[in-house]
Amino acid sequence: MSADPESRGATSGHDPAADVPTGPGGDEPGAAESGASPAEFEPDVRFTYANERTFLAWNRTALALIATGVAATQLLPEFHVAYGRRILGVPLIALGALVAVTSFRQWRANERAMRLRRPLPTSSMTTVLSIGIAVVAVVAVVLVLLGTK
Amino acid sequence: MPLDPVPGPDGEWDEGLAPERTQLAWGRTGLAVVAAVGVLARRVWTLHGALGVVALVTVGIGALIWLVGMRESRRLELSMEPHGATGRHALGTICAGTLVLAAGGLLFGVVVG
Repeated sequence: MSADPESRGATSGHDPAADVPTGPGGDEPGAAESGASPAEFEPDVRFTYANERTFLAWNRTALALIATGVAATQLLPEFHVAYGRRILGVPLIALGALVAVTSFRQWRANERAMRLRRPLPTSSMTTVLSIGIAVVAVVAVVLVLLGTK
Repeated sequence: MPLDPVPGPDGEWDEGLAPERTQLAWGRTGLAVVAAVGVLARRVWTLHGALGVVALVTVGIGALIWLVGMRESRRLELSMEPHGATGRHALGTICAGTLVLAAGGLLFGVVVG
């Protein structure tokens, strides 16, 4: 897996021209045989499915983060620290929204890369998610140690 | 990275169990939506007056968008022979549904308190 700066740019950069080859025409059945455009290929269907499952997994993560954030603000006892439950819940919900948006962008970028037979773009979301959850965990430990009302 | 498909015995691409795995993933995701909406609904249910109506409508819209997105994805997967490439609009719809639920969570879980 190459991590050259060009493929990384495909994740964040929004190139309208690159959107054209992955239009509805490329999704039609038989596009592989006729060739929707010279530079475009119908990807192996297993990779298409895998890309979709990855999107769904990220979305489940997003939903879990949102549900946990809401539950933290509503179901926990009040902490001694003012706004303790919100300090815990808001970042989780915000992280969930971020994961939802990036999951779709990543799915789209992967789909495009596979159709153009380019290296798959890299994503920093795994790092962001790990660090985010770790930070929330540390905050939770501090809040719990300071005690509840 | 080679992306050439591996032909099966009959010359077709061998999907293996990829469609089944993907279908199971949709099922898991559906359960996650139900759980998230349940947590939100539990909070929203106790609100009264205009705020309660707005809250219920927001969560309802989020759930509805998800339902539409999932139905659209299912329709695409059944109709697109032989591949199950789900359209970007269906997955984009689902993404929007998650965002509405997140907004509802922020608004009624946090701002309202």
